[in-house]
Amino acid sequence: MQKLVQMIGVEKVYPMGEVTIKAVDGVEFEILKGEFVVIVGPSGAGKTTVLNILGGMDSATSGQVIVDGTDISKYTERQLTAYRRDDIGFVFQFYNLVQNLTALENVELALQICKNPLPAQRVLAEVGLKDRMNNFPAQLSGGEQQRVAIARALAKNPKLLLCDEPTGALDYQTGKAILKLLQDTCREKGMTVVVITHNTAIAPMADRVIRIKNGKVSSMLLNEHPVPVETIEW
Amino acid sequence: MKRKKALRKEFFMEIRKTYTRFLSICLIVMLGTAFFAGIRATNPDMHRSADSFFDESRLMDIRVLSTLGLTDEDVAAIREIDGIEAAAPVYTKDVLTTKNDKQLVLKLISAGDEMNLVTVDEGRMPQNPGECLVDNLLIDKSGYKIGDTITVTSGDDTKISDIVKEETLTITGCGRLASYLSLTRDSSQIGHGSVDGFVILTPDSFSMEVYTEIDITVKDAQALDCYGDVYEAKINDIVDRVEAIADGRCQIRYDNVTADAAQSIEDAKKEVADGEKKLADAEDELADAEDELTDAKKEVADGEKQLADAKAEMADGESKIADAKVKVENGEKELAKAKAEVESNAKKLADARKEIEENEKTLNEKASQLALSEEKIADGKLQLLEGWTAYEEGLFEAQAGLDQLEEKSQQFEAAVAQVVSGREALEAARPQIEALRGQIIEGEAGLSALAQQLDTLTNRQSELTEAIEYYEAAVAAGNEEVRGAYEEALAQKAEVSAGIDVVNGKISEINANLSMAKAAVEDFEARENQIQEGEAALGDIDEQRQLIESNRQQLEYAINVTLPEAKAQLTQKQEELDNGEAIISEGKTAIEDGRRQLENAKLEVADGEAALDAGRKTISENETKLENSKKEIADSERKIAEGKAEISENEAKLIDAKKEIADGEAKLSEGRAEYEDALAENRPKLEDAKAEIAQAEEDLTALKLPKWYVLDRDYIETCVEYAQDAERIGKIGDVFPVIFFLVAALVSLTTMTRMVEEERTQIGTLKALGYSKGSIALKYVLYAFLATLIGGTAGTILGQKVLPLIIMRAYSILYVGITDYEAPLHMGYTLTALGAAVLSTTIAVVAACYKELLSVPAKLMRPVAPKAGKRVWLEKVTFIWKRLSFSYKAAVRNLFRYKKRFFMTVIGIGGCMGLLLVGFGVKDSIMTIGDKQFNDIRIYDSTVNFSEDSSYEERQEVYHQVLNEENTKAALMAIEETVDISKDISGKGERSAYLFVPSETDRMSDFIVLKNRVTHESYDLDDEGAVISEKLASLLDVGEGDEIYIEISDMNRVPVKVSHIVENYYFHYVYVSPALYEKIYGEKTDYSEIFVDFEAPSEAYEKEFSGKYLTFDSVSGISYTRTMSERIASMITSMDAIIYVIIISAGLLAFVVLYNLNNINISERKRELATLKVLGFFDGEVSIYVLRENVMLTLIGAILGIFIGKVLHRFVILTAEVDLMMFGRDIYFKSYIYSVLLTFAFSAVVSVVMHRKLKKIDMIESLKSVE
Repeated sequence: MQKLVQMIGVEKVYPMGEVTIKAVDGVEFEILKGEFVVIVGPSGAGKTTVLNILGGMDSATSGQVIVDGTDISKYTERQLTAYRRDDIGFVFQFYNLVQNLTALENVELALQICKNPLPAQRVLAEVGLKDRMNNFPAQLSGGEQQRVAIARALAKNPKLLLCDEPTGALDYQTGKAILKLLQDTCREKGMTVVVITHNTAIAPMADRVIRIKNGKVSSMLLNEHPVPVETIEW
Repeated sequence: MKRKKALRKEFFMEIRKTYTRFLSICLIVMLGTAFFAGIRATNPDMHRSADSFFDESRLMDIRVLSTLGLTDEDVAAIREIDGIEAAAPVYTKDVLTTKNDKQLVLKLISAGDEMNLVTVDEGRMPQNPGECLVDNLLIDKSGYKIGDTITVTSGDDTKISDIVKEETLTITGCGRLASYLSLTRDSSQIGHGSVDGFVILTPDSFSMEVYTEIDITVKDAQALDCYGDVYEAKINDIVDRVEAIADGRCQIRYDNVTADAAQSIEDAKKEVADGEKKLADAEDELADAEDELTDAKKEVADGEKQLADAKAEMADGESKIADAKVKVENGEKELAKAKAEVESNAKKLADARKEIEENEKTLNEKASQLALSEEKIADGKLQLLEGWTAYEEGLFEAQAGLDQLEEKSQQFEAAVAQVVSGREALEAARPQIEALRGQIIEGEAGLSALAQQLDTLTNRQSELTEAIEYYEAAVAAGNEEVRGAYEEALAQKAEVSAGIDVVNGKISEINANLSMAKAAVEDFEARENQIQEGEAALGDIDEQRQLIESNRQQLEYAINVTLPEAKAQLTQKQEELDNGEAIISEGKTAIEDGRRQLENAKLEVADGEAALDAGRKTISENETKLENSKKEIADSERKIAEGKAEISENEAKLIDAKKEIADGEAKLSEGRAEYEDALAENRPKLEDAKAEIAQAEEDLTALKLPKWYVLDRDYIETCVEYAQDAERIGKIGDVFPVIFFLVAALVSLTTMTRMVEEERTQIGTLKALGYSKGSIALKYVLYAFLATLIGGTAGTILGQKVLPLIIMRAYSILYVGITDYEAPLHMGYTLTALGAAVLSTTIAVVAACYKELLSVPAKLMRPVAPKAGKRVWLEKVTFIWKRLSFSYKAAVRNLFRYKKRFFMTVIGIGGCMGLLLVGFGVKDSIMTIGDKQFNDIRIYDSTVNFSEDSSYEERQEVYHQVLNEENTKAALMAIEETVDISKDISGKGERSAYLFVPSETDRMSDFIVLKNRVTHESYDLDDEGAVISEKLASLLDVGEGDEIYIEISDMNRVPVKVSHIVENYYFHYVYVSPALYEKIYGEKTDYSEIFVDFEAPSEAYEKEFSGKYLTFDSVSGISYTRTMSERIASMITSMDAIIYVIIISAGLLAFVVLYNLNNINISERKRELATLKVLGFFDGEVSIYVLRENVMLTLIGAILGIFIGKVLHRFVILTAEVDLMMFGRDIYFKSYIYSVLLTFAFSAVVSVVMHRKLKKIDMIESLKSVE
């Protein structure tokens, strides 16, 4: 299998007046194409910073971030934007839908700017929102809103789908359903999915589990037999 | 105490953190209060500036005039009155003078040292009779300079010597009087009817019998505001007291005058007697003159005889001269022939010389060509030598190469043999090594199995250790149940440890075997590599051999074929070079021959030239001889001419003498006629004088008691106008600032609402901690209060200090009298403005946080649900909605989603646009006066005014001459005179206007266009009614069909029907036809002006025109409209200051509103925008997404602004208009364009600032939870 992501000695340092804080301290890992990856770690371990760097929202202080053969760590602001636009799909904890646009329009908002998008209606139908397309976010439940967000990310046809605590604001059942949706997307479409969570219980469903602690990768585990999410309880 | 301290600290931190918000409230409040206080303060400031000028120059409070003049006794009597500070007698008199052919009316005023002080701007006050100080206006407009003299003449039947002691006055300085603030002066009974300027003289310059007026200052009045009620009451009181003594003083004056008059009647009677005596003396003088004439006639007869002799001598001399002339002419002809011959020879020589030069040139060219060929041959030889050397070297190299090649071929074959033998040895050892490799793989597999075993064991060991620890703890805690398990675990652990040791032993054994085998394999591989390198180095053997063979063939080819060919070429070249050298030496000999021939030709030409020079010399000698003969002839001719002149001179003298005699005779008869006339004239005059005396005696008995007029400052025209203008500004101040106040309140409301929303959680926390509602709300109230206080204080001070000065400076164009303007701070306006601002913002804050304060803390700490998206009504209009692009749909929804923001922005931008329109519109309106008045309505170019005493014939003569000018398109005689018009027969509300009567009504439209402003319908004059100008109609409040009254005399007003009302911007006009004029006045028209249209008006032509026609006695003045419209245009530049103020404040308004609302908008939607960035929107795309809404809002605001602007402009124009003018009612199209462009420019500036702000939004915002 082809390597999609490779992080080599990535460091992120925040100068805070006279002291400097190392949020990420030499992270190294790799992700293969089509894998379902879970990055776990306690709050403040630096996993969000890693996600930000991987998602092109922030740049590393040093080290290399190689995505699909190119090193994005030396990208300019503009190149990073183009990278986010074309290569990354992002799913937020709080969905971040534009309240003033309908579900369909929210998806179209993302499509408007990308090179070869998938048709919005089809993607929405695939995430199970065929009948709710013309509703405003306020008229949708949390799970439905997150589905819209996933559809928005998928419709861009990205190389990498990054999800930041996608179930963080959802109840148990809905959360499971969303994880299943993500897992199915990975399996059926070959999409590389990276989920960031502090919930270690969902690690068994991943092909690869990366544990982050104090800004370092404490372990990286390859799971030969990932289990379907339905069988996991927490 | 502690609690308050924490809150206070938080409060100041808040201000520091959100200083842009704080500043924006400051700024908008500053704008609001500056306009409110500033424009309101202008009215009192204008009053105050005037008041202090009045006080400084001690302007009189009361002026007393009398129909029979005033005396020193009157002054003394007034000084007696209680409450009067001072009373000063003053002489004034209107007189005439002429400057640059223009008649001027001057008002002479005696200088006072107690009151009505003159402000001297240049020079000094007059000190002696014969000196004067003049009005600044006379310097500026009439062209006087300090040091000039003015000669004054009387304008009525008073003798000038009865007015001033010296008629010629030297100007010592110029200055102004407080009673003349503006550029207009009083009207006058003499000359053209209005005073052109005052002239100040010392009191002793006057020779008038009585004072014209007494000026009074009132005790304690100076300290009061002269536009206030207290002052008015005080002055009214004194006026009453002065009026109380008026009757008594008048009686005394009357008695004195009657006594004087009786005396002067006696004197007149004596004069009549003198006149009769003078007539008798004149008769005697006539007789003496007749005798003198007869003597003169005799002298003339003698002179005529002498002249006839002289004429005969002259004829003789003339015939001699004619002979001499014929001889000279023959000589000249011969000379010309000789010259022609010489010249033809000279030409032939020149041709020969030219030919020689050409030949020389060709020779030289040939020589240089030869030189070139020689150089080429030398080069060829050199090349040939080089060719030979190269050939020898090539031959040698080729043979050496052949030898080397042979040697190389032998070496190569030896190396091939060596490598082949090495390869054979290697292949023999290979099977042995393959066996060793198999052994290594087997060993490694065993090793990894052992390692796995070791891992499992180690894991088991650590699990057991953990378990043992747990059990130990449990046992120690006394849990006996687990002891069994604990023991078992210990045993298992020991077992596992033993297992680990065994496995480790096996691993080290296998490792030893493996290393031996690996060494053997490595050795073999090294050898194989060596052989492979050797094979590679040799490469393809056959190829190498072929290469050597082809090299050999090449070298042999070079020796046998190529080199011999080169040799043949070189030999051929050698031959060619030898031929070239032979040709060149032939050429050289030919050139030498040519040169010798040329030298011979040159010698021949030189001989020819010498012969030519000799011929020329002879010709010039003959010429001088001829010249001398001619001179002699000219001398003789001159002498004869002189003789003739003398003769004609004498003849002229004789004729003059005869004429003189005739004149004398004529004079005599004239004198006689004059005498007869005088006799005929003076007899009746004497009779008239006698009658006059009788009349005077009668008048004396009829003389009425004089009357006093006691006037206060309200009778000084400019003081009143000035006060009215100040009030107009005050009225504008009532309306204008309301826009700013409204916007300020709205901006504070939204800003504070947003602030409270942002701090919901904090409010909840404080509430949960137990803080009272009051102390929480206090923070927001104080925040707004502090911002308002700072902004308001700055605004009121700035507004009151700057705005009044700018407005007054603009007015100073009209009121040149006042030069020092004051703009003090008014406590009242400061406090009202501040109070209103504080009150409105405080109410806004309380309204903003009231709802939040009522909620329970739990609810406050939960995030507020985001405002749900909604469809807008526009979506129902599918045919529009469908056509909108996706981004426009989003923008439209957003606009309607935030309604508060929508309305505020639209009002703010509308206000900005409206203000700009007012600013430009006011300028347009004033521009219209000059523009339309003189380009559309009064389209004539010039008027020629006749003097009053010119006759009908003189006027007709000028008129016809003007008509015949080449540059005159049309001309029309007309009347234009001042009349008073009223709506009421009593003359109440009278307005002064020009009465215009054209001599031909059907041609009037070439000069003045009568049309309706709105409908553009044109009117003709008819005999039924008058056409009046629009502003006059509105001032009199009359419409078409109503009647107006034209004043003919004080008691006689004639009604006239208004038939039409016409567009007009400057002055008031009443147009009537000649027939109607005759009906109104009961007398024939007496046309006093010519209106002229030029073909091509220009400054130069106007000068020429003036120069020509002002010399006519009958023409009193000429004016041009071109300069009028220019003057009005220059007046408008003074409006620029006000327009800049408006533009700047409009810009500030737009900026504050847009900036503030955008700020709120962005902070409310931070998450949304950060999400867009994460989705991959470029900075520009994010900005466009947000700022598109700004463009739409600006567009809607601008449309609203057009309406606001139109309404406001109309209001301002109607309020600010002076009675004498009508400002244009329309705003020009280009002003709309400018306003829209500026509004969008302001909006664009904000957008640029916002773009920077948007760039700074951190994408991390998108990860945060909803606040």
